Amino acid sequence: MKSSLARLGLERGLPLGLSLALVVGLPIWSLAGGANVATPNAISGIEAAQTPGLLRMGLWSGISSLLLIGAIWRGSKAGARFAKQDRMWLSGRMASPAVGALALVFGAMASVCICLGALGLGVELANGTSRAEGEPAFAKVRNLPGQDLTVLHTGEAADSQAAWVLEDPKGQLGYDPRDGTAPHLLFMPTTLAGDGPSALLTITATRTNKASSANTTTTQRIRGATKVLLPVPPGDGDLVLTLEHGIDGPPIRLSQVESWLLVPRSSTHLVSVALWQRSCLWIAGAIALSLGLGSALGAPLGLLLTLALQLLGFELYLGAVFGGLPWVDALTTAGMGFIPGFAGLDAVTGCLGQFAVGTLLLARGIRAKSLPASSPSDGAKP
Amino acid sequence: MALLSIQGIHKSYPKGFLGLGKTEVLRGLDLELEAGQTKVIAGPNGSGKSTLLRILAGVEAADAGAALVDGIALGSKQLLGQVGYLPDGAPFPPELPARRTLELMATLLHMPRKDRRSCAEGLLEKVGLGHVARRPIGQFSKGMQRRFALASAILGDPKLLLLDEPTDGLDAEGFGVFDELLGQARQRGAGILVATHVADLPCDEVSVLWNGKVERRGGPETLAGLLGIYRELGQPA
Repeated sequence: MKSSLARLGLERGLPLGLSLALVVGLPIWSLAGGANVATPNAISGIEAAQTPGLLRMGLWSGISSLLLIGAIWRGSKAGARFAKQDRMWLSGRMASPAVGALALVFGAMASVCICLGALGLGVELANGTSRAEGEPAFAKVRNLPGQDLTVLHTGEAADSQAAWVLEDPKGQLGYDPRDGTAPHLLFMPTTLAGDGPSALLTITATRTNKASSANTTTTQRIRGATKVLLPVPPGDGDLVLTLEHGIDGPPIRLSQVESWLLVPRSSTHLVSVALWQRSCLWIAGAIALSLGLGSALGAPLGLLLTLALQLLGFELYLGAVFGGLPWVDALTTAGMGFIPGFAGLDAVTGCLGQFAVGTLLLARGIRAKSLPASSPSDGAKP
Repeated sequence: MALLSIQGIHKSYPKGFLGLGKTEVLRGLDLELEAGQTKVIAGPNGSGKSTLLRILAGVEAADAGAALVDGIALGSKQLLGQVGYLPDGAPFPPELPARRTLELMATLLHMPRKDRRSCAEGLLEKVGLGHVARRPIGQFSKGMQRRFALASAILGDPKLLLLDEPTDGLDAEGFGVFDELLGQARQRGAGILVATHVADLPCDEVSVLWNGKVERRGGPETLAGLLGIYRELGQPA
């Protein structure tokens, strides 16, 4: 790959001043009291993570949305410039326009990753130490398997044998008390009466292996949407979850997407690492596509079409491909004070797909035009 | 064998509603250029001079026709770096310093890393831009941009030089530099094709482009009489 062309692509894609402003400005803004991350003393542990989580979510969602639009605009403009102006001096000197386009797109994508890295650094510097010493950070690993929706009526227990057996093929549920913090299960049940009367919910997690019958239980009053946390009992093997409605109160609804497995991590700064990865996949894919579309259609149309495709991604449930939905999902997790998981294969594939389309279109835009082979001379045929 | 042989180049652009109509700019243009020869393509504005050069440089596609350099079709990878093109206007990256842009072009031509900087600096010295080698091209005046374009065109000592209005905006010193560099290129056997509408260039032959074809050929003195030729061909210059 031509590193000098990659550098040109990087320089055209990178808003250097903005990146520096993010690294320096966000901590200053935080020190000046703008972040207001003070956590009430009465709240501790996992609950205490939500306030800085909301700050992270706010900063990441607001600034990276603007960066997305800015990156698409810069990409479309650079694509149009490569195809209209730079082609004058590029095309006759490039043995392979595909390699040249690859380098330019790669550089532009790298610029997005650098700028988002600056945002992540700024956010984490602004957040400072968002937890008291020794308090664990938790990462969302996945939604719990089981039935899509459970509705419990007064005095009713879920059919635990059928629906809420948690198998542990990856060893994520295993826990030795000497190791430190236990993995947790997070549930977000909702009373069907909304914010009206409340209901009692008891959740019990029990190990199923013969060597251990350890269990953990929590009972909590549910009103509207309520967060319930349950430590995973020590030991190895699968878990059975039992949910039990109290003797009165409205029905309680709990869906699979609102039931997560959380595992302890070393630092809450990993929130920004995970958000950086997902934002990179989304925005770098978008800038690659905008470079190609800008070179083929011009800057304004390239901008509009790339933006429209990213927005359509949400409507058509292609968000996972265009990277928008995994990004929103990760922001939600971060907003609740947990570390989001890293993006899956679909987001990576979507990013690579946009990279491929963008590179092909840009290569077409900057290649040298051959003369048609309509000469009377055979030697004229390229 | 001629260094450059152009046969039957046709080019038209869409026009009118939805581009359904077309304007023919080049209509079966034929031309030959020998090694070491300088040929001027003259003609009024809109006669297709720049279009011809853009086609030969691979910036635009022709509708039909062929062009060979030393028997090899233009656009072939064997001719990579053998055609130097000085485009009209200022298409170079305005944000990049002059030296770095030339180094980038040298990279694309697979010039060894150790030679790139000295080559770029040498060329900038030759065109009188050595003192502003680190300045972004966008900060150059029009004349400085033409000098830079000339340096980029002769980078790698190409066999064929395509120069589109090369003296546009040049001062007297710039003319001198231009003459000197083109003289050196001729001495090493390069062919030079210059598109211009002004009568101020030393050359071996002048071809007057009219209605998309070469209508007149003549010696350098023809340049001085261009106005008369245009009138004779039926249109004021």
